[in-house]
Amino acid sequence: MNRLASHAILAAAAVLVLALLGGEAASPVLYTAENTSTAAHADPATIQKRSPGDADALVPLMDDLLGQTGTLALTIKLRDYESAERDLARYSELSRQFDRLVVTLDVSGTDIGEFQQNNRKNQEALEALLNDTRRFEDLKRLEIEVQDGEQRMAIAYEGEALRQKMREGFSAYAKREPATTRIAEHYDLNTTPYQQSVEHFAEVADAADDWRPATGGTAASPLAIAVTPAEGRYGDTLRIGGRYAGGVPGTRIEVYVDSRAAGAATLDADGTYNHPYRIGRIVAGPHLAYATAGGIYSEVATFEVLTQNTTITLALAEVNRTAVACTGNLTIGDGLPVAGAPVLIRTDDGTLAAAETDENGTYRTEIVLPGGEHTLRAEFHAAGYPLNASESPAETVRVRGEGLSPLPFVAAFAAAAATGWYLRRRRPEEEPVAKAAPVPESPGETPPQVEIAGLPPREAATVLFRALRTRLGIPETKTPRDCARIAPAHAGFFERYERIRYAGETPTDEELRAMEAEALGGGEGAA
Amino acid sequence: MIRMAGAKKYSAAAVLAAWLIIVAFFMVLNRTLDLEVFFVLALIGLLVVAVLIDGAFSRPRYMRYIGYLIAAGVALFAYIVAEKILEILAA
Repeated sequence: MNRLASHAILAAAAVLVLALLGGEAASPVLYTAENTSTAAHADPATIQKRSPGDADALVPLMDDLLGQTGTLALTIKLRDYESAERDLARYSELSRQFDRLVVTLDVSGTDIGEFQQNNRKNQEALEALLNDTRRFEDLKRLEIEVQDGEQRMAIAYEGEALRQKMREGFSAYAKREPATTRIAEHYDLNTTPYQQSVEHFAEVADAADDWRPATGGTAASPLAIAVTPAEGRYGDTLRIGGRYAGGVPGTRIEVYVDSRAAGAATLDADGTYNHPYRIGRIVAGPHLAYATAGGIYSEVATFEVLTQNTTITLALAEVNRTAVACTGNLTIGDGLPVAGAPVLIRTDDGTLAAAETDENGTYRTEIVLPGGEHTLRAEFHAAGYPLNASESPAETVRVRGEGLSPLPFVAAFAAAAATGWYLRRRRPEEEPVAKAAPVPESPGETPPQVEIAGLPPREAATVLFRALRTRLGIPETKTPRDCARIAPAHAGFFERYERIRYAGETPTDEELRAMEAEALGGGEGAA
Repeated sequence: MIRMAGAKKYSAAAVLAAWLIIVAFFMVLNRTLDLEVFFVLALIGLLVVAVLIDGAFSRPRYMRYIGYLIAAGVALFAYIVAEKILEILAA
């Protein structure tokens, strides 16, 4: 009873443990230091592994970044474009490292995050400066080579546009200096190269200014141009027009914005033209407009595009078990839709899906998600638009997921097949012995049928041993020594067999006959 | 002899338990506790113990039970391997 109780307790405990483990079988990784996320327990070893080295690298990296701005601005100023390219590549690499570090250390909310943003803008500004300076050089060279008046004008316009862009770039670059210097000084960084870079930037922009009087100042043109109003926002329509003194009514006037054709107008009977220009996908800041009528070029008019805030919404609807439809609107402050704008849908694990707004500012896309709860967010990045980026509030959706995966069933089938093969392979080893010594069901007086003719002497001895053991009703698990102890009357037989079996001796024919007689119960020993 | 054979199965159980504790200890020391790895190492331990206690000329009843246990373990192991292969193929 006692024994039964202990067995029952053991079996119950085993079943309980197996059930507990089975519950975890779907996600067999019970614990790793990296993914431990309980508030009560955090493995200090992993935190140490991740942060001290990174944190140590952060401040020197900021120093390198500031140093790199000085070098890059200097090489641009010296027009050593090859070195400038190398410096820029190095600067980009350092910036990328810095960005990664800021994310890893999760310090984007601090002044280091502000430094990172300024640094990113500085990098873009210096990259633009390098490209603009190069283009400027090309324009200067072209201006000398080109004799054709029309082309010279085009060069002058482009030069003017570049000059304005560089001026704009410089003022933004200089505006960031106080904040960046303040943060840098907070971390005891050397700000001299950075301040020098601002000076170099100013010199490059000034050099572009010097070029203007030489080319930009065109003689008073009969084709006048004006942009009214002089500034606008996304969706506004500006009027680009003027008077063409001496122009024949009906003349086609081409209007260009930033040296790109923006449309055409026809000269009215009163000698004026008017082209409505709708502000669409164009960057914020100053822009240039000019008009041409045949070979006649107008002067350059400027206008400014101002930025505006945007609002983006996101609504989720289930399409089927795995897909979710994301819809929403992208509008600016007064409800005006933003058409043809790219929208990104970000899911909780960082996966992105792209969509585009239609004429009504509405976007719609379907994304396939794995089963479970997901948080989605729509983002508008405003690249190329005079608009500020925006982000929708996070929306949560529960995806039911696909039905049962066939994977475990296929694996189970493979496992069953493999086990079947394994068991089949094992069986033949045991069978010959069973065949050699057929065991009668009831041990007792009936002599077993044993055929040893033709067998090698040692195998024949084994067959006889098995036959005798069966006849005496001794279990198969007993060795010859055990058998000798259990049936002392046949000890001689069993001891002889033990020597044959373990000592490698070979029985003679006479011995075999004697053993056969004893095994079959006819011998003197059995009596 | 019979007493020794009886002691053998208890020693085997003790050795196997010790092996499982050692495996768990080192897995925790390595800051990873993976059931699959634990199971495979446990099965290896069971196979070694089974080979060591298996007699040449007799087959005690407990060896037959261990055989069933090993067959179940091999089936589970085959399942894990098959699943891993399918995972790799699907990736």
